[in-house]
Amino acid sequence: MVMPDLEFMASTFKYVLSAIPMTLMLTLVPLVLGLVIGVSLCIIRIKKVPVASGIVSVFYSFFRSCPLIVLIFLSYYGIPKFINIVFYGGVRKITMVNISSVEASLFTMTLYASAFLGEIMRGALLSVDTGQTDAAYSLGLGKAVTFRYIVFPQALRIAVPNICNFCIGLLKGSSVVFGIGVVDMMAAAKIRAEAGYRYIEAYMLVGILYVILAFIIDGFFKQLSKYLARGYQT
Amino acid sequence: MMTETFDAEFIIRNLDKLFMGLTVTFRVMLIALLIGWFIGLLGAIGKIYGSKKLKAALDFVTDFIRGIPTIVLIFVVYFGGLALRKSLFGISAAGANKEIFAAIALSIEISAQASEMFKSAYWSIDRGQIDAAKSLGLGAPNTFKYILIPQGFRVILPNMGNSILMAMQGTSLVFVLGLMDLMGRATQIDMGVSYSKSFEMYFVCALIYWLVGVVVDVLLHRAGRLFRW
Repeated sequence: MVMPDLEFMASTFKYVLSAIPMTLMLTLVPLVLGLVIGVSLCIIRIKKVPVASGIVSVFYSFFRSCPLIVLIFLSYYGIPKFINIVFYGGVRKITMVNISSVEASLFTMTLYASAFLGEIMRGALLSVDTGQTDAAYSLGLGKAVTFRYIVFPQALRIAVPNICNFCIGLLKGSSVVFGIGVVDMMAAAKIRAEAGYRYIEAYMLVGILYVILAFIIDGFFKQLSKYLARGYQT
Repeated sequence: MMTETFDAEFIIRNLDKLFMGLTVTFRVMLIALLIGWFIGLLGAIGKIYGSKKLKAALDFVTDFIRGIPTIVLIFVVYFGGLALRKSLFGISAAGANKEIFAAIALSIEISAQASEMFKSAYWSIDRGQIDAAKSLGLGAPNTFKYILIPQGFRVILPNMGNSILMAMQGTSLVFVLGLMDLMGRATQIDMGVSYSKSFEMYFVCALIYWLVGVVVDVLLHRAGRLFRW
């Protein structure tokens, strides 16, 4: 086997390191925004709002099956088309060059996250003991207050492991945005690999970096889970 | 001024070529699922019955694999596999069977998820069931066949659905190796018209993936009802 080129690995490491903020932004922003949007969507489903809850179900079924890379390509080519048809009456005014790849990726991943996180929160909200809401109503607490101070915090604690898994899924999923020109960790590794013809070293390096990030996220969520459970006896 | 169109006719004309890509997708998916579930089952048995050290090692390996993005895994297995082949057999990259490399990469990813899936299905079955079976004198094979499998199957069904969808989403990335699966065909057809029909192609890919997802869900739902109490 050929000896690994240490100088190459060092310079690749530095280059990939500089792309970590982009990857983290592509993971954390969709996570937070997706949580907010997802909770709103899942409330629509729980309340069984006539038309909207059906639309949300279809939305979830679509995002669950469709691979992220297809969604990213779809938005990259589709957003200019959509803007052209809606705002310019079908005339080709905007093309891909006018749309920032980073913004398109953030948009797509936020939608993707809101679909999945909505399902996770729906499961968590439904699994909170109904006795809690009964007790709250019997004490005179209104619906909104009950949700905010009794039901939602407990649901959040139940949902944390699933949210952690999904966050790592977002981290891995963000690696496909190199396909539309975003320079994240994966794109950085690919550029270095093709520059030096050292594919194995570059990709193994970035793989290990992704795993380290995944372990860090895991640790963060474990701490969060401990913090949320601090008032409860085991 | 060019007008923005949606060329539905183009999609219909090229549907047969796209479906040829689907056969490659399903082939890679099937091999990856079979190998992945088999290794995952072995891993789960190790996690359930193994020593403390074995459990810790398996847990670490599972967490490690789960942290690697699919595309990185595909690249590492492909380039690493080629280098391994070269040093063992001396053949170069030409004529390599890319499908096998893709299937191996995906089966590694699936085996990590599957080991957790089988482990959680085992632990979700009430211990009392196994105790009752022992007290009735049912041996291990019969316990497995009449008690564990029916109950475990119902529990595991949604996770199996996720596993299958995970395999499908994994195959959507193998076109970067040049494999002519659904995405590979779509990109190829698009290339043939100088990339002017990209949206139409990826739109129909999305619809096809969605359709497959819905079919998988319905089939698993039906299978679950076979095992009702």
